[in-house]
Amino acid sequence: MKNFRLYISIITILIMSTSTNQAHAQDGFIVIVNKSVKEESLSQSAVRRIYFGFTTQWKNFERVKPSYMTIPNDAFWSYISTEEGKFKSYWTKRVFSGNGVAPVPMMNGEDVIDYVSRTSGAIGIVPDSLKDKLGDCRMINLE
Amino acid sequence: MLTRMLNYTVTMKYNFEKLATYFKRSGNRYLLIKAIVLVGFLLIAGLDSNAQFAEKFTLNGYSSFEYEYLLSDEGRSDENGSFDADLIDLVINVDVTSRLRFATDITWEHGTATEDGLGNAAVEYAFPEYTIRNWLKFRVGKMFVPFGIYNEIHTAKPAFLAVKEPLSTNKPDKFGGDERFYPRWATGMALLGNFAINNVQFEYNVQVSNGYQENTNPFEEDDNEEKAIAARLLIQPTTGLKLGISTYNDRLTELDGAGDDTGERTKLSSFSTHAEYNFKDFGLEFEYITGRTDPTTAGELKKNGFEAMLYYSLGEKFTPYVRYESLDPDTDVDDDSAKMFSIGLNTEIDKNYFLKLQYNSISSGVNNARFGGVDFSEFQAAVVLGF
Repeated sequence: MKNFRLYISIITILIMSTSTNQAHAQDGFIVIVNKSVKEESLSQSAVRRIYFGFTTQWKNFERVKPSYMTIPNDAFWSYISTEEGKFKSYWTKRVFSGNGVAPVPMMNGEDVIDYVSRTSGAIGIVPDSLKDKLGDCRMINLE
Repeated sequence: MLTRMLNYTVTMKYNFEKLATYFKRSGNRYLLIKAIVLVGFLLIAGLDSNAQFAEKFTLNGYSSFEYEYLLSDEGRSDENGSFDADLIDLVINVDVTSRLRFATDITWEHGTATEDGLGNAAVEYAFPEYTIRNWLKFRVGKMFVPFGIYNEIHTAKPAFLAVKEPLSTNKPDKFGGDERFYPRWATGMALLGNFAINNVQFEYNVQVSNGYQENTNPFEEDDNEEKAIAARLLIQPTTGLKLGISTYNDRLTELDGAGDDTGERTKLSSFSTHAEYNFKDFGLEFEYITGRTDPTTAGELKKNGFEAMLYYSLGEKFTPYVRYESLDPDTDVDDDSAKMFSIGLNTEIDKNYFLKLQYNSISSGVNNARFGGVDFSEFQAAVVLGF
């Protein structure tokens, strides 16, 4: 019983210490989707689940195809509660173990918009300075 | 983009080779020029369909080159300091439909040269995965057994810091144990998925397979009616903490002296708890496995394996780490355990290109089947690439 309490205490401390990693929605970027996507809004946790490969289907069962910018993009990493190095390491394990396909890296926001515009089921996060250049994709509301 | 270009290149090469062969025979250069124009036109017209295929096809892979050298006067390590063209793997994913994904990993190990009987070529896994919901997916085929931290990435050297996966929990047979806690691979079917409750992420995988056996090809034919069951549950309360439990249960066919089934079964069961934690640049992991083998003709064998690792990332390029692992191959036998302490440095030289340097100190009891109480140290290095 004593060991069990110690175990629970350790886990509680670990959870509390990592919970400071949880980021909040920040200004500076927008979430865009291909016009085939029917969802009108997404929560931060829903976006995070997409980028970590937990959500692989939209509600209409279309495959989710996330993409992201490889240029410095602190707002994005903060929004999905991780860092670029950890994200890369996470997906290295997930891809090589056969557990998914990694989000598509793009050089910049324009490339993300291009990819999301021409790819059914795609989602991307780009700087809000590009919101007037969305082409064939649309912004999605963040809850 | 690379995949798409490769795809076009292959298509073009195939078409031009066929045409070139035909026109070489006919000797008609005018027709050849017209054909080139025609093929060019068809290629442009076909770009759209090729692009659609390229969007569904993903090629990844990794390679590993290793070096090992015995530093002590004696010990079970490589006293010649050999180089090892460890492996090259190609990982292919095809999104066949919105619900159906095909995944495979094909490996060539130790400089495979089949004409000379050298090395090994193998399918690590190959399965279609059908998604019913995010919380319910279905796989059939050859798969990694979903057990612990390392089994699903044990060949993917860019996916972990150290030169090799921990022996105590993954290769106990190379650490003084008689056999492994679970098989590496299995052929069968699996249900898996993930869901979240109050932002706590759960991932499960339940696999039913032919199980462990050596007298038949376990990926083709089962040698008994009992199926092996493996299961793993991962829980992520926060982004930096992952807790897990895994189990493997099997019934092994007992054979007589002539290699025939006696009808008796050895019970094999293993259970593991594991955790991975990282906060800022600091990280740790641990895994504890207990295993039980219970043959009808002899007493029950219990064994335990443990590993723990600490690491700290310095500016993302350099990650020093220390790892401790131990194995008690038979809890009823004294002085048979083995321990290894490792200290190493993982350096990302270029994008997904790593140099690993590691020092291992191994100690063991006199009754350890592999090391026999001879303590020794070794140096290991690896250059690995992921793409």
